[in-house]
Amino acid sequence: MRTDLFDGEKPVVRFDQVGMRYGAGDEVLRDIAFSLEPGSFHFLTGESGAGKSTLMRLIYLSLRPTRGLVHLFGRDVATLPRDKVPAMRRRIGVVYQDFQLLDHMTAIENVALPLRVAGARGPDVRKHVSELLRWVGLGERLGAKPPTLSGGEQQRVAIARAVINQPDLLLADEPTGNVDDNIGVRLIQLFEELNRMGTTVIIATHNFGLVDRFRYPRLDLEDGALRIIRGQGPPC
Amino acid sequence: MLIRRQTDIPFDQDPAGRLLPWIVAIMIYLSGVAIAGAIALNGLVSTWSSGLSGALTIQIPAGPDSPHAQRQAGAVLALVRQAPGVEQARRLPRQDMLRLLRPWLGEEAGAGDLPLPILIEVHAAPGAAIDTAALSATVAAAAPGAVTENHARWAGPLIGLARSIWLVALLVVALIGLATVITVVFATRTGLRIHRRVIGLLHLIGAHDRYIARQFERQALWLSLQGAVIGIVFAIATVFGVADLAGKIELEPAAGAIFTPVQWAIFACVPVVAALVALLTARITVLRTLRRMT
Repeated sequence: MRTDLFDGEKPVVRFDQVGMRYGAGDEVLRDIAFSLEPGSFHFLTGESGAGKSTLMRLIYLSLRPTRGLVHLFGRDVATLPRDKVPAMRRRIGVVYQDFQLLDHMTAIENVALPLRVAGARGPDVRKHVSELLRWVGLGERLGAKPPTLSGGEQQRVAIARAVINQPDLLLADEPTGNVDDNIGVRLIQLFEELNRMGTTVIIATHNFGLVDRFRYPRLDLEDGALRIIRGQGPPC
Repeated sequence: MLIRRQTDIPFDQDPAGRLLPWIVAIMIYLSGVAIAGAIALNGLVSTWSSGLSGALTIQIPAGPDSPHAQRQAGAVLALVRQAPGVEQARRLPRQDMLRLLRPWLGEEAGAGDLPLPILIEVHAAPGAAIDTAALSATVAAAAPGAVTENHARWAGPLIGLARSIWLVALLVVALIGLATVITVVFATRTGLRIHRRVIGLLHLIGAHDRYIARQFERQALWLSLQGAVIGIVFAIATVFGVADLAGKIELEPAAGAIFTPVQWAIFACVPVVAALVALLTARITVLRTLRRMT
Protein backbone atom coordinates (compact mmCIF):
# COMPACT_ATOMS: atom_id res chain seq x y z
CA MET A 1 0.00 0.00 0.00
CA ARG A 2 2.47 2.63 -1.16
CA THR A 3 1.12 6.16 -1.28
CA ASP A 4 2.33 9.59 -2.26
CA LEU A 5 3.54 10.05 1.31
CA PHE A 6 6.14 7.34 0.82
CA ASP A 7 9.72 8.31 0.10
CA GLY A 8 11.82 5.18 -0.26
CA GLU A 9 15.07 7.12 0.07
CA LYS A 10 14.32 8.49 3.51
CA PRO A 11 14.20 6.59 6.81
CA VAL A 12 10.83 5.09 7.65
CA VAL A 13 11.20 6.28 11.24
CA ARG A 14 13.51 8.99 12.50
CA PHE A 15 13.64 10.39 16.04
CA ASP A 16 15.67 13.56 16.74
CA GLN A 17 16.34 14.25 20.42
CA VAL A 18 12.84 13.19 21.39
CA GLY A 19 11.72 13.56 24.99
CA MET A 20 8.41 12.44 26.44
CA ARG A 21 6.80 13.04 29.79
CA TYR A 22 3.26 12.45 31.03
CA GLY A 23 1.85 15.56 32.68
CA ALA A 24 4.28 17.13 35.14
CA GLY A 25 6.12 13.86 35.82
CA ASP A 26 9.68 12.93 34.96
CA GLU A 27 10.63 12.21 31.37
CA VAL A 28 9.97 8.57 30.53
CA LEU A 29 11.98 8.93 27.32
CA ARG A 30 15.06 11.16 27.07
CA ASP A 31 16.97 12.37 24.03
CA ILE A 32 15.88 9.48 21.86
CA ALA A 33 17.63 9.60 18.50
CA PHE A 34 17.59 6.85 15.90
CA SER A 35 16.48 6.14 12.36
CA LEU A 36 15.16 2.99 10.71
CA GLU A 37 15.78 2.37 7.04
CA PRO A 38 13.01 0.97 4.80
CA GLY A 39 12.87 -2.80 4.97
CA SER A 40 14.75 -3.12 8.26
CA PHE A 41 13.83 -5.47 11.13
CA HIS A 42 14.41 -4.48 14.75
CA PHE A 43 13.57 -5.74 18.18
CA LEU A 44 12.72 -3.15 20.81
CA THR A 45 13.84 -4.46 24.17
CA GLY A 46 13.88 -3.28 27.74
CA GLU A 47 12.52 -4.12 31.14
CA SER A 48 8.90 -3.47 32.02
CA GLY A 49 8.40 0.28 32.46
CA ALA A 50 11.45 1.13 30.37
CA GLY A 51 9.27 3.08 27.92
CA LYS A 52 8.82 0.54 25.10
CA SER A 53 5.08 1.11 24.81
CA THR A 54 5.53 4.88 24.96
CA LEU A 55 8.07 4.72 22.14
CA MET A 56 5.68 2.56 20.11
CA ARG A 57 2.81 4.97 20.73
CA LEU A 58 4.95 7.85 19.51
CA ILE A 59 5.63 5.92 16.31
CA TYR A 60 2.01 4.99 15.63
CA LEU A 61 0.89 8.56 16.31
CA SER A 62 -1.06 7.85 19.46
CA LEU A 63 1.12 10.34 21.36
CA ARG A 64 2.94 13.55 20.49
CA PRO A 65 6.44 14.06 21.96
CA THR A 66 6.94 16.80 24.51
CA ARG A 67 10.18 17.76 22.75
CA GLY A 68 12.21 16.76 19.74
CA LEU A 69 11.12 15.73 16.25
CA VAL A 70 9.51 12.55 14.99
CA HIS A 71 9.67 11.85 11.27
CA LEU A 72 7.65 9.08 9.63
CA PHE A 73 8.18 8.19 5.98
CA GLY A 74 10.18 11.39 5.61
CA ARG A 75 7.46 13.65 7.05
CA ASP A 76 7.69 15.64 10.28
CA VAL A 77 4.55 14.45 12.07
CA ALA A 78 4.27 17.71 14.05
CA THR A 79 3.57 19.60 10.82
CA LEU A 80 1.43 16.90 9.24
CA PRO A 81 -2.05 18.30 8.48
CA ARG A 82 -4.80 16.59 10.44
CA ASP A 83 -6.49 15.23 7.33
CA LYS A 84 -3.24 13.50 6.26
CA VAL A 85 -2.84 11.59 9.53
CA PRO A 86 -5.26 8.72 8.61
CA ALA A 87 -3.36 8.01 5.38
CA MET A 88 -0.12 7.88 7.40
CA ARG A 89 -1.69 5.54 9.96
CA ARG A 90 -2.96 3.16 7.27
CA ARG A 91 0.66 2.51 6.37
CA ILE A 92 1.36 1.34 9.91
CA GLY A 93 0.16 -2.01 11.23
CA VAL A 94 0.07 -2.32 15.00
CA VAL A 95 -0.23 -5.38 17.23
CA TYR A 96 -1.28 -4.00 20.59
CA GLN A 97 -0.21 -5.62 23.82
CA ASP A 98 -3.85 -5.79 24.93
CA PHE A 99 -4.95 -6.77 21.39
CA GLN A 100 -7.63 -4.02 21.12
CA LEU A 101 -10.09 -6.31 19.39
CA LEU A 102 -13.73 -5.28 19.04
CA ASP A 103 -15.79 -7.70 21.11
CA HIS A 104 -18.99 -7.24 19.10
CA MET A 105 -17.28 -8.34 15.89
CA THR A 106 -16.25 -11.80 14.77
CA ALA A 107 -12.61 -12.68 14.13
CA ILE A 108 -13.05 -12.23 10.40
CA GLU A 109 -14.76 -8.85 10.87
CA ASN A 110 -11.99 -7.67 13.21
CA VAL A 111 -9.30 -8.60 10.72
CA ALA A 112 -11.20 -7.02 7.82
CA LEU A 113 -11.58 -3.72 9.70
CA PRO A 114 -8.45 -1.99 8.29
CA LEU A 115 -9.54 -2.94 4.77
CA ARG A 116 -13.05 -1.65 5.37
CA VAL A 117 -11.72 1.60 6.82
CA ALA A 118 -9.60 1.97 3.69
CA GLY A 119 -12.72 1.52 1.57
CA ALA A 120 -12.26 -2.11 0.42
CA ARG A 121 -15.47 -4.11 -0.02
CA GLY A 122 -16.66 -7.30 -1.66
CA PRO A 123 -16.10 -11.07 -1.61
CA ASP A 124 -12.36 -10.76 -2.30
CA VAL A 125 -11.92 -9.09 1.08
CA ARG A 126 -13.58 -11.98 2.86
CA LYS A 127 -11.52 -14.53 0.92
CA HIS A 128 -8.28 -12.67 1.63
CA VAL A 129 -9.06 -12.34 5.34
CA SER A 130 -10.12 -15.99 5.62
CA GLU A 131 -6.85 -17.14 4.04
CA LEU A 132 -4.80 -15.06 6.47
CA LEU A 133 -6.76 -16.34 9.48
CA ARG A 134 -6.23 -19.88 8.27
CA TRP A 135 -2.51 -19.15 7.95
CA VAL A 136 -2.32 -18.08 11.61
CA GLY A 137 -4.18 -21.24 12.60
CA LEU A 138 -7.64 -19.79 13.12
CA GLY A 139 -9.38 -21.29 10.11
CA GLU A 140 -11.96 -22.91 12.37
CA ARG A 141 -12.65 -19.77 14.39
CA LEU A 142 -13.57 -17.27 11.65
CA GLY A 143 -16.99 -16.54 13.11
CA ALA A 144 -15.93 -16.53 16.76
CA LYS A 145 -16.08 -13.32 18.77
CA PRO A 146 -13.06 -12.28 20.87
CA PRO A 147 -14.61 -13.06 24.28
CA THR A 148 -14.91 -16.70 23.19
CA LEU A 149 -11.29 -16.91 22.00
CA SER A 150 -8.29 -17.82 24.17
CA GLY A 151 -5.54 -15.25 24.80
CA GLY A 152 -3.34 -16.83 22.16
CA GLU A 153 -6.14 -16.90 19.62
CA GLN A 154 -6.96 -13.25 20.29
CA GLN A 155 -3.30 -12.39 19.80
CA ARG A 156 -3.25 -14.12 16.42
CA VAL A 157 -6.39 -12.24 15.36
CA ALA A 158 -4.69 -8.99 16.41
CA ILE A 159 -1.60 -9.92 14.37
CA ALA A 160 -3.71 -10.80 11.34
CA ARG A 161 -5.47 -7.45 11.60
CA ALA A 162 -2.12 -5.63 11.77
CA VAL A 163 -0.72 -7.29 8.64
CA ILE A 164 -3.86 -7.66 6.52
CA ASN A 165 -3.14 -4.62 4.33
CA GLN A 166 0.62 -5.24 4.05
CA PRO A 167 1.70 -2.11 5.90
CA ASP A 168 4.95 -0.27 5.20
CA LEU A 169 5.72 -0.36 8.92
CA LEU A 170 4.69 -3.04 11.39
CA LEU A 171 4.82 -2.44 15.13
CA ALA A 172 4.18 -5.36 17.45
CA ASP A 173 4.00 -4.86 21.20
CA GLU A 174 4.80 -8.18 22.92
CA PRO A 175 3.22 -10.20 20.09
CA THR A 176 4.42 -13.53 21.46
CA GLY A 177 3.47 -12.94 25.06
CA ASN A 178 0.46 -15.26 25.09
CA VAL A 179 1.59 -18.07 22.80
CA ASP A 180 3.95 -21.00 23.22
CA ASP A 181 7.44 -20.93 21.73
CA ASN A 182 6.50 -22.82 18.57
CA ILE A 183 3.66 -20.42 17.71
CA GLY A 184 5.92 -17.51 18.75
CA VAL A 185 8.59 -18.56 16.27
CA ARG A 186 5.93 -19.03 13.60
CA LEU A 187 4.60 -15.53 14.21
CA ILE A 188 8.08 -14.02 13.96
CA GLN A 189 8.49 -15.93 10.70
CA LEU A 190 5.28 -14.30 9.47
CA PHE A 191 6.80 -10.92 10.31
CA GLU A 192 9.98 -11.93 8.50
CA GLU A 193 7.93 -12.83 5.43
CA LEU A 194 6.33 -9.38 5.48
CA ASN A 195 9.76 -7.88 6.01
CA ARG A 196 11.05 -9.65 2.92
CA MET A 197 8.24 -7.99 0.95
CA GLY A 198 9.50 -4.58 2.10
CA THR A 199 7.71 -3.96 5.39
CA THR A 200 9.82 -2.37 8.11
CA VAL A 201 9.29 -4.29 11.35
CA ILE A 202 9.71 -3.33 15.00
CA ILE A 203 8.89 -5.93 17.65
CA ALA A 204 8.79 -4.86 21.28
CA THR A 205 9.51 -7.78 23.59
CA HIS A 206 11.22 -8.78 26.75
CA ASN A 207 11.55 -12.38 25.54
CA PHE A 208 15.33 -12.28 25.17
CA GLY A 209 15.41 -15.97 24.23
CA LEU A 210 13.38 -15.20 21.13
CA VAL A 211 15.47 -12.10 20.37
CA ASP A 212 18.71 -14.11 20.56
CA ARG A 213 17.26 -16.75 18.29
CA PHE A 214 16.74 -14.34 15.42
CA ARG A 215 19.66 -11.99 16.05
CA TYR A 216 18.17 -8.88 14.49
CA PRO A 217 19.46 -5.49 15.73
CA ARG A 218 17.98 -4.28 19.00
CA LEU A 219 16.77 -0.91 20.15
CA ASP A 220 17.35 -1.27 23.85
CA LEU A 221 15.66 1.07 26.32
CA GLU A 222 17.03 1.54 29.81
CA ASP A 223 15.91 4.30 32.18
CA GLY A 224 14.32 6.23 29.30
CA ALA A 225 17.52 6.24 27.21
CA LEU A 226 18.03 4.29 24.02
CA ARG A 227 21.04 2.40 22.75
CA ILE A 228 21.28 0.45 19.52
CA ILE A 229 22.77 -3.03 19.68
CA ARG A 230 23.71 -4.33 16.27
CA GLY A 231 22.53 -7.82 15.41
CA GLN A 232 24.72 -10.57 14.15
CA GLY A 233 22.17 -12.52 12.19
CA PRO A 234 20.06 -11.98 9.09
CA PRO A 235 20.02 -8.62 7.19
CA CYS A 236 19.03 -5.48 9.00
CA MET B 1 -32.99 0.53 19.98
CA LEU B 2 -35.93 -1.11 18.22
CA ILE B 3 -34.10 -2.92 15.41
CA ARG B 4 -30.37 -3.77 15.43
CA ARG B 5 -27.87 -3.04 12.66
CA GLN B 6 -24.27 -4.21 12.27
CA THR B 7 -21.77 -1.34 12.64
CA ASP B 8 -18.10 -0.92 13.57
CA ILE B 9 -19.24 0.92 16.69
CA PRO B 10 -21.37 -1.19 19.07
CA PHE B 11 -24.31 1.20 19.27
CA ASP B 12 -26.56 -1.45 20.81
CA GLN B 13 -24.59 -0.99 24.05
CA ASP B 14 -25.54 2.67 24.10
CA PRO B 15 -28.40 3.60 26.49
CA ALA B 16 -28.90 7.01 24.84
CA GLY B 17 -29.44 5.24 21.52
CA ARG B 18 -32.15 3.06 23.02
CA LEU B 19 -34.12 6.11 24.18
CA LEU B 20 -33.68 8.25 21.08
CA PRO B 21 -36.43 6.65 18.92
CA TRP B 22 -39.00 7.12 21.66
CA ILE B 23 -37.99 10.73 22.30
CA VAL B 24 -38.13 11.45 18.56
CA ALA B 25 -41.50 9.66 18.34
CA ILE B 26 -42.95 11.98 21.00
CA MET B 27 -41.41 15.06 19.34
CA ILE B 28 -42.72 14.08 15.91
CA TYR B 29 -46.15 13.29 17.32
CA LEU B 30 -46.36 16.77 18.87
CA SER B 31 -45.00 18.36 15.68
CA GLY B 32 -47.43 16.40 13.54
CA VAL B 33 -50.42 17.45 15.63
CA ALA B 34 -49.22 21.08 15.64
CA ILE B 35 -48.68 21.03 11.85
CA ALA B 36 -52.07 19.42 11.31
CA GLY B 37 -53.64 22.11 13.48
CA ALA B 38 -51.82 24.82 11.56
CA ILE B 39 -52.88 23.36 8.19
CA ALA B 40 -56.50 22.99 9.33
CA LEU B 41 -56.54 26.50 10.74
CA ASN B 42 -55.00 27.84 7.56
CA GLY B 43 -57.79 26.15 5.61
CA LEU B 44 -60.40 27.71 7.86
CA VAL B 45 -58.83 31.14 7.48
CA SER B 46 -58.86 30.77 3.70
CA THR B 47 -62.49 29.69 3.77
CA TRP B 48 -63.46 32.60 6.01
CA SER B 49 -61.45 35.05 3.94
CA SER B 50 -63.01 34.02 0.65
CA GLY B 51 -66.47 33.50 2.12
CA LEU B 52 -66.78 36.71 4.05
CA SER B 53 -64.65 39.30 2.34
CA GLY B 54 -67.17 39.84 -0.47
CA ALA B 55 -70.38 39.31 1.48
CA LEU B 56 -72.94 41.74 2.91
CA THR B 57 -76.21 41.27 4.74
CA ILE B 58 -79.06 43.73 4.61
CA GLN B 59 -81.55 43.52 7.43
CA ILE B 60 -84.99 45.13 7.14
CA PRO B 61 -86.58 45.25 10.60
CA ALA B 62 -90.16 44.22 10.13
CA GLY B 63 -92.24 41.11 10.14
CA PRO B 64 -92.44 39.30 6.82
CA ASP B 65 -96.17 39.66 6.84
CA SER B 66 -95.96 43.44 6.82
CA PRO B 67 -96.92 44.65 3.32
CA HIS B 68 -94.83 47.76 3.78
CA ALA B 69 -91.74 45.74 4.61
CA GLN B 70 -92.39 43.44 1.66
CA ARG B 71 -92.48 46.43 -0.69
CA GLN B 72 -89.28 47.83 0.86
CA ALA B 73 -87.55 44.46 0.45
CA GLY B 74 -88.51 44.27 -3.20
CA ALA B 75 -87.25 47.80 -3.84
CA VAL B 76 -83.99 47.14 -2.00
CA LEU B 77 -83.40 43.90 -3.91
CA ALA B 78 -83.92 45.67 -7.23
CA LEU B 79 -81.53 48.48 -6.29
CA VAL B 80 -78.86 46.18 -4.88
CA ARG B 81 -78.82 43.94 -7.95
CA GLN B 82 -78.00 46.97 -10.09
CA ALA B 83 -75.22 48.19 -7.78
CA PRO B 84 -71.63 47.99 -9.16
CA GLY B 85 -69.69 44.89 -8.13
CA VAL B 86 -72.72 42.86 -7.03
CA GLU B 87 -72.93 39.39 -8.51
CA GLN B 88 -75.83 37.99 -6.57
CA ALA B 89 -78.44 39.25 -4.12
CA ARG B 90 -81.19 37.09 -2.70
CA ARG B 91 -83.71 37.20 0.05
CA LEU B 92 -83.08 34.56 2.68
CA PRO B 93 -86.12 32.26 2.91
CA ARG B 94 -87.85 32.13 6.28
CA GLN B 95 -87.14 28.37 6.55
CA ASP B 96 -83.39 29.04 6.24
CA MET B 97 -83.56 31.68 8.98
CA LEU B 98 -85.44 29.30 11.25
CA ARG B 99 -82.83 26.61 10.58
CA LEU B 100 -80.06 29.02 11.62
CA LEU B 101 -81.92 29.84 14.82
CA ARG B 102 -82.76 26.25 15.73
CA PRO B 103 -79.45 25.48 17.56
CA TRP B 104 -80.20 28.36 19.94
CA LEU B 105 -83.98 28.32 20.20
CA GLY B 106 -84.68 24.61 19.66
CA GLU B 107 -87.73 23.31 17.85
CA GLU B 108 -89.68 26.35 19.13
CA ALA B 109 -87.91 28.31 16.43
CA GLY B 110 -90.33 26.79 13.94
CA ALA B 111 -93.31 28.45 15.57
CA GLY B 112 -95.11 30.58 13.05
CA ASP B 113 -95.55 33.62 15.27
CA LEU B 114 -91.86 34.37 15.78
CA PRO B 115 -91.18 37.90 14.46
CA LEU B 116 -88.18 37.78 12.16
CA PRO B 117 -86.59 40.54 10.09
CA ILE B 118 -86.18 40.24 6.35
CA LEU B 119 -82.58 39.31 5.45
CA ILE B 120 -81.00 39.92 2.05
CA GLU B 121 -77.69 38.23 1.23
CA VAL B 122 -75.40 40.10 -1.15
CA HIS B 123 -72.30 38.58 -2.78
CA ALA B 124 -69.69 40.49 -4.74
CA ALA B 125 -68.49 39.31 -8.13
CA PRO B 126 -65.04 37.58 -8.00
CA GLY B 127 -62.32 40.22 -7.90
CA ALA B 128 -64.86 43.05 -7.62
CA ALA B 129 -65.38 45.36 -4.65
CA ILE B 130 -68.69 46.70 -3.44
CA ASP B 131 -68.80 50.32 -2.26
CA THR B 132 -70.40 49.53 1.09
CA ALA B 133 -71.00 53.18 2.07
CA ALA B 134 -72.78 54.02 -1.19
CA LEU B 135 -74.83 50.83 -1.04
CA SER B 136 -75.74 51.52 2.57
CA ALA B 137 -76.98 55.00 1.66
CA THR B 138 -79.02 53.62 -1.24
CA VAL B 139 -80.58 50.98 1.01
CA ALA B 140 -81.33 53.51 3.75
CA ALA B 141 -83.10 55.75 1.22
CA ALA B 142 -85.27 52.90 -0.04
CA ALA B 143 -85.94 51.34 3.37
CA PRO B 144 -85.44 53.68 6.35
CA GLY B 145 -84.22 51.70 9.36
CA ALA B 146 -82.60 48.96 7.29
CA VAL B 147 -79.10 47.91 8.40
CA THR B 148 -76.34 47.03 5.95
CA GLU B 149 -73.68 44.84 7.57
CA ASN B 150 -70.31 44.24 5.95
CA HIS B 151 -69.06 40.78 7.09
CA ALA B 152 -65.45 41.72 6.45
CA ARG B 153 -65.68 44.19 9.36
CA TRP B 154 -65.92 41.45 11.98
CA ALA B 155 -64.28 38.73 9.93
CA GLY B 156 -61.01 40.73 9.75
CA PRO B 157 -60.06 40.53 13.45
CA LEU B 158 -61.16 36.87 13.55
CA ILE B 159 -58.93 36.04 10.61
CA GLY B 160 -56.10 38.00 12.31
CA LEU B 161 -56.57 35.91 15.46
CA ALA B 162 -56.56 32.70 13.43
CA ARG B 163 -53.36 33.75 11.65
CA SER B 164 -51.72 34.50 15.02
CA ILE B 165 -52.64 31.02 16.26
CA TRP B 166 -51.21 29.61 13.03
CA LEU B 167 -47.91 31.43 13.64
CA VAL B 168 -47.85 30.14 17.23
CA ALA B 169 -48.33 26.60 15.89
CA LEU B 170 -45.37 27.09 13.54
CA LEU B 171 -43.31 28.44 16.46
CA VAL B 172 -44.22 25.33 18.46
CA VAL B 173 -43.04 23.14 15.56
CA ALA B 174 -39.78 25.11 15.36
CA LEU B 175 -39.22 24.73 19.12
CA ILE B 176 -39.92 21.00 18.95
CA GLY B 177 -37.42 20.80 16.09
CA LEU B 178 -34.85 22.63 18.21
CA ALA B 179 -35.51 20.27 21.12
CA THR B 180 -35.01 17.30 18.76
CA VAL B 181 -31.69 18.73 17.59
CA ILE B 182 -30.55 19.23 21.20
CA THR B 183 -31.59 15.64 22.02
CA VAL B 184 -29.61 14.26 19.07
CA VAL B 185 -26.57 16.36 20.05
CA PHE B 186 -26.78 15.01 23.60
CA ALA B 187 -27.24 11.40 22.43
CA THR B 188 -24.35 11.73 19.97
CA ARG B 189 -21.99 13.22 22.55
CA THR B 190 -22.94 10.48 24.99
CA GLY B 191 -22.23 7.92 22.27
CA LEU B 192 -18.84 9.49 21.57
CA ARG B 193 -17.93 9.22 25.26
CA ILE B 194 -19.20 5.66 25.63
CA HIS B 195 -17.41 4.46 22.48
CA ARG B 196 -14.21 6.43 23.02
CA ARG B 197 -12.05 3.27 22.97
CA VAL B 198 -13.50 1.98 19.71
CA ILE B 199 -13.27 5.42 18.10
CA GLY B 200 -9.64 5.66 19.22
CA LEU B 201 -8.92 2.28 17.66
CA LEU B 202 -10.64 3.24 14.40
CA HIS B 203 -8.51 6.39 14.30
CA LEU B 204 -5.34 4.35 14.87
CA ILE B 205 -6.32 1.95 12.10
CA GLY B 206 -6.56 4.95 9.79
CA ALA B 207 -10.21 5.97 9.86
CA HIS B 208 -10.98 9.55 8.90
CA ASP B 209 -13.27 11.59 11.11
CA ARG B 210 -15.75 11.38 8.23
CA TYR B 211 -15.76 7.56 8.43
CA ILE B 212 -16.59 7.71 12.14
CA ALA B 213 -19.10 10.50 11.61
CA ARG B 214 -20.80 8.39 8.92
CA GLN B 215 -21.38 5.62 11.45
CA PHE B 216 -22.97 8.03 13.91
CA GLU B 217 -25.06 9.82 11.30
CA ARG B 218 -26.42 6.54 9.89
CA GLN B 219 -27.27 5.46 13.40
CA ALA B 220 -29.01 8.79 14.11
CA LEU B 221 -30.86 8.56 10.78
CA TRP B 222 -31.98 5.00 11.48
CA LEU B 223 -33.10 5.63 15.07
CA SER B 224 -34.80 8.94 14.22
CA LEU B 225 -36.59 7.43 11.25
CA GLN B 226 -37.96 4.63 13.43
CA GLY B 227 -39.16 7.14 16.03
CA ALA B 228 -40.46 9.60 13.45
CA VAL B 229 -42.55 6.97 11.66
CA ILE B 230 -44.10 5.87 14.96
CA GLY B 231 -44.77 9.51 15.90
CA ILE B 232 -46.34 10.46 12.58
CA VAL B 233 -48.56 7.35 12.51
CA PHE B 234 -49.98 8.29 15.91
CA ALA B 235 -50.29 11.94 14.81
CA ILE B 236 -52.28 10.90 11.71
CA ALA B 237 -54.51 8.71 13.86
CA THR B 238 -55.08 11.67 16.18
CA VAL B 239 -55.90 13.98 13.26
CA PHE B 240 -58.47 11.53 11.90
CA GLY B 241 -59.90 11.08 15.39
CA VAL B 242 -60.29 14.84 15.92
CA ALA B 243 -61.64 15.32 12.39
CA ASP B 244 -64.17 12.60 13.01
CA LEU B 245 -65.30 14.27 16.26
CA ALA B 246 -65.45 17.63 14.48
CA GLY B 247 -67.53 16.07 11.72
CA LYS B 248 -70.03 14.77 14.27
CA ILE B 249 -70.74 18.29 15.49
CA GLU B 250 -70.79 19.62 11.91
CA LEU B 251 -67.76 21.80 12.65
CA GLU B 252 -65.59 20.57 9.81
CA PRO B 253 -65.52 17.72 7.32
CA ALA B 254 -63.28 14.64 7.74
CA ALA B 255 -59.47 14.96 7.71
CA GLY B 256 -59.26 13.74 4.14
CA ALA B 257 -61.28 16.74 3.09
CA ILE B 258 -59.41 19.20 5.36
CA PHE B 259 -56.00 18.40 3.81
CA THR B 260 -55.22 18.79 0.14
CA PRO B 261 -52.88 16.20 -1.47
CA VAL B 262 -50.02 18.72 -1.22
CA GLN B 263 -50.71 19.19 2.49
CA TRP B 264 -50.77 15.43 3.01
CA ALA B 265 -47.40 15.29 1.22
CA ILE B 266 -46.04 17.94 3.60
CA PHE B 267 -47.36 15.89 6.50
CA ALA B 268 -45.74 12.72 5.16
CA CYS B 269 -42.41 14.56 4.77
CA VAL B 270 -42.19 15.29 8.51
CA PRO B 271 -40.45 11.97 9.41
CA VAL B 272 -38.05 12.30 6.48
CA VAL B 273 -37.17 15.88 7.40
CA ALA B 274 -36.73 14.89 11.06
CA ALA B 275 -34.43 12.00 10.12
CA LEU B 276 -32.35 14.23 7.84
CA VAL B 277 -32.09 16.87 10.58
CA ALA B 278 -30.90 14.14 12.97
CA LEU B 279 -28.37 12.93 10.38
CA LEU B 280 -26.92 16.40 9.86
CA THR B 281 -26.92 17.14 13.59
CA ALA B 282 -25.03 13.91 14.32
CA ARG B 283 -22.52 14.58 11.55
CA ILE B 284 -21.77 18.13 12.71
CA THR B 285 -21.59 17.06 16.37
CA VAL B 286 -19.16 14.20 15.67
CA LEU B 287 -16.90 16.20 13.38
CA ARG B 288 -16.71 19.13 15.80
CA THR B 289 -16.16 16.92 18.82
CA LEU B 290 -13.46 14.80 17.16
CA ARG B 291 -11.68 17.93 15.98
CA ARG B 292 -11.57 19.18 19.57
CA MET B 293 -10.45 15.78 20.91
CA THR B 294 -7.19 15.75 18.95
